Amino acid sequence: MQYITAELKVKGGKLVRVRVAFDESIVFQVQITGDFFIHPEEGLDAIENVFIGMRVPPSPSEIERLVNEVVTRGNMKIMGFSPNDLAALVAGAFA
Amino acid sequence: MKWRVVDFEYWNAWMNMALDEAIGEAVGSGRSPSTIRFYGWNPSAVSIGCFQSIKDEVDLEACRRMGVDIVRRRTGGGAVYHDREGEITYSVIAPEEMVQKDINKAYETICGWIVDALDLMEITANIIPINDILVEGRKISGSAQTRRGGVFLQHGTLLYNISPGKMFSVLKVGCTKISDKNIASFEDRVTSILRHAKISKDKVLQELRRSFTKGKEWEAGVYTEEERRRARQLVVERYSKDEWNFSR
Repeated sequence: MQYITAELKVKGGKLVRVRVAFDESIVFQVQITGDFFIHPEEGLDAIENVFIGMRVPPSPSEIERLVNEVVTRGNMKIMGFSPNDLAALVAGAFA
Repeated sequence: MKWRVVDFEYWNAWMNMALDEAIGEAVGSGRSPSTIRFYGWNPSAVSIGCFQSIKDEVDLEACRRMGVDIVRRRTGGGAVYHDREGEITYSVIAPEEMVQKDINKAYETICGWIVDALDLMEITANIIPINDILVEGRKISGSAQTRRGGVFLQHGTLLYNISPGKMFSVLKVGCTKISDKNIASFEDRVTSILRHAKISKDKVLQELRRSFTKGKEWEAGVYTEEERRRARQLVVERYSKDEWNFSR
């Protein structure tokens, strides 16, 4: 198991940190922390679960599509970062 | 139903967050009225946002050394140092339908009450979305909001007389966090009422109450026995637990 971390201060938004656990082929877990807001708060678990089982390196467009899906399905509001910011952060960590 | 306004009281960090939740439950079931409470933290404490990593945000050793408590909030947002003497915290707890549905607009409304209170003290302040209030470009107040079970909660802090040095010895503020802000140092980020107006804490509380209750039917009140009992239970079950406070 390997770990990488990355962080981003979204311009005009909030700080987002990710910690990714993975091996050479798949992502096992992603933890997202920071001073952002998600309503309802339980939505963050669903967003983190999106990454489990993704191929390494994860594709930014796939991350963005899947995060957008769970956000819409869960009727979530994220304040402080966008699915696009998150996709760029996680995919960028593997670059 | 009239709003209940509970005057400033000191509680410890766990109890402060547990009271917000207990009041929210009572408001949600119609057993308590919409509530505005003002409170302080004894001992001084750090509260962290529900999505933050405690180890990334808080110098745990400095907190232990200085006798500063730590609690994780149910709301998002950033880590806050609540100095026993130097700040005032507020909570607004009401059925969701009494507050704007739009999150930004609800922030604007309640942060507007703080701006109005500061105006009564002849301090000019501006709301910086999402959740900050600045005076002369420095933060004087921050707030966080959640909606659960049909109940709206916004709580936030107003700095009265803060020592930035003390604040930044317990909070870890990385360079990334301020990278989009045009400031020279962490200390330049914050200000407090006493830097702008010579006014007692009692007078600040009076102006806050005047502004928060403007146009509302309200009465001064206290916490019910049910709320206190439930809050104590929540302290035991959640807010004092490492499983909660160290969950991220």
